[in-house]
Amino acid sequence: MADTLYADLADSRLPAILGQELMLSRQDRMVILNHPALFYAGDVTNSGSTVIKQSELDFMAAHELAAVADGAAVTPTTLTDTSYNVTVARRAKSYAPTDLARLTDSYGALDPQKFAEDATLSAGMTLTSLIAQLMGGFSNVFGTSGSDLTLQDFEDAVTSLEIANVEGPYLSILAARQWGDMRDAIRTATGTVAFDPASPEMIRMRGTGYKGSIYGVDVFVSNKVSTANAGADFAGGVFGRGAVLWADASVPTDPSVIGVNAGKVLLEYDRNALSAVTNFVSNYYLGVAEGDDARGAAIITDA
Amino acid sequence: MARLNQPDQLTGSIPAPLAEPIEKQPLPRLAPSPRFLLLAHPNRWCVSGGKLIPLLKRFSLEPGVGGVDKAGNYHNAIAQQEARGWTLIPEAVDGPGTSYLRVDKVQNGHRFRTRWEVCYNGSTRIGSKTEEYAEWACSLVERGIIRPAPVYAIEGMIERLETSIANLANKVHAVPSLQIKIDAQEADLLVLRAALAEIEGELQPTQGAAPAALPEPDPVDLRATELHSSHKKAQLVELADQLGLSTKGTAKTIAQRIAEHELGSEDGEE
Repeated sequence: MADTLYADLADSRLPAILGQELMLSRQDRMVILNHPALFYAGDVTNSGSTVIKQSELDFMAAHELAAVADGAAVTPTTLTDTSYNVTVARRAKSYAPTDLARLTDSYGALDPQKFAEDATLSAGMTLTSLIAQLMGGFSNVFGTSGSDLTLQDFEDAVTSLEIANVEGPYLSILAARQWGDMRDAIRTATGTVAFDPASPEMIRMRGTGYKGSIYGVDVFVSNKVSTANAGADFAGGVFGRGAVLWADASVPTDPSVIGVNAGKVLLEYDRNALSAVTNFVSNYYLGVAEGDDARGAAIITDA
Repeated sequence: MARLNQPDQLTGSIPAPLAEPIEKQPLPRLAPSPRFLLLAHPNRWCVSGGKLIPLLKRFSLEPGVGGVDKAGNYHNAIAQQEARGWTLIPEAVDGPGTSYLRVDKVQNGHRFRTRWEVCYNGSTRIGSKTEEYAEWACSLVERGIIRPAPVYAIEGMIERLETSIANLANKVHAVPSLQIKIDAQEADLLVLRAALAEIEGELQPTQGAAPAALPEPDPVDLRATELHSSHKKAQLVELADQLGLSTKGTAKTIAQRIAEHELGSEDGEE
């Protein structure tokens, strides 16, 4: 009597079954949208322009009272202002699964609700990515090219902001390599380091990129931080409120739109019946710009 | 049994030869990154490849970033940067038809990089031709495209390096491997000191102008203040009475009257 082998049951067994849970690919999913160090310049919807001019006024304790003799006329103080422009542009993406791809989806990943979630998260991630690109652009630079980031470099950068009267709280965005060096520096530090590591609750609130607070500065890690010195270094940074400005717009909707208005992101379903394909198209309008350069410091260290 | 050479029998054609199997190169495992331009700022310098070089910034040309508009026009954005003291390094700075940029295809798009960066298929590693880049960056100063490092920038870097070396020296007994860092930073310090010595004679710090002299105090006011602080009101009234002056008013007013009288009579004597 022959044994019944697995191979004998080819018609009643599957080559493979799907895992119980859908695993997401390795990506940077750090969203810093609501951090108070970011300055939201506004919404350009129905404003007549794609550019927001953010004014900065030399006011509110910017000038002290002058000593004036009794009876003498005080010279009026001139209020000076400056401005920074934020230009809003379109960002979009689409997925186009066929009906067959969707109807065989056992995970429910190709579901309209999941596409809406993806659109919202991707919009936040886009903002993070654009801000991370600005980090290395401040004219104040700390760190040593080709050398690992040290606590001293970080402290020097933070001190420079304090000296420049930069309003807190401060936010730092570093490349993962820089954070690794910083963690190493914390581990080998001989004195006390004011490091408050990210708790699971904080990570849930602020995203996986949040690493904790050092000297009161919230530190985030993003792999969108650009390189410097021909790839020899990473260009992270630390900044206070007003160094980085962002603005956005609301996509106009009308009754003909079929989709989901997820805040400022509009996800539309565009059905192509001839090809049996549904396009899930998301549109978002946003812009970021460096505001007051003196409110930020670049931290450029070994990659 | 089939008969050969029947007119309706299909003879078939020889299929095209199979293409040589293509060795598919995996793409670099790097995220896409936008096109950029390099900008220099007088405050930004570093030591790399044994030279003091400008620490250039990458200005992203992505719509919606730093003033680049929806169509990708960046001229206004660059003008704003120039107004803040940045100098644009043109992409073709090394001559017509050249570029300091290179672009690679990566998953989900393209990655722009400088020509001194090295990417590898199937890897996340980014290498760097540091010495070549340092030569090129140094040449930007030599060719007059950007100004040499100002004294204050080098002095700031020296101060920070000295602090860093001192901090490392405090720990080197516990962690001997820190000596490598100290040696590297001391080498950088030598480069900076040499650069400073070279340019210190050429660039002088601002001298500043002497401020205008403070106005001379009024001698009458000085004498009145002296009298007021050293005499009681009764004494001042008595003194004013002796001089035949009015004794009405506050002590300060009487002192003022006496001072005017004293200095007036001195002027008269002269």
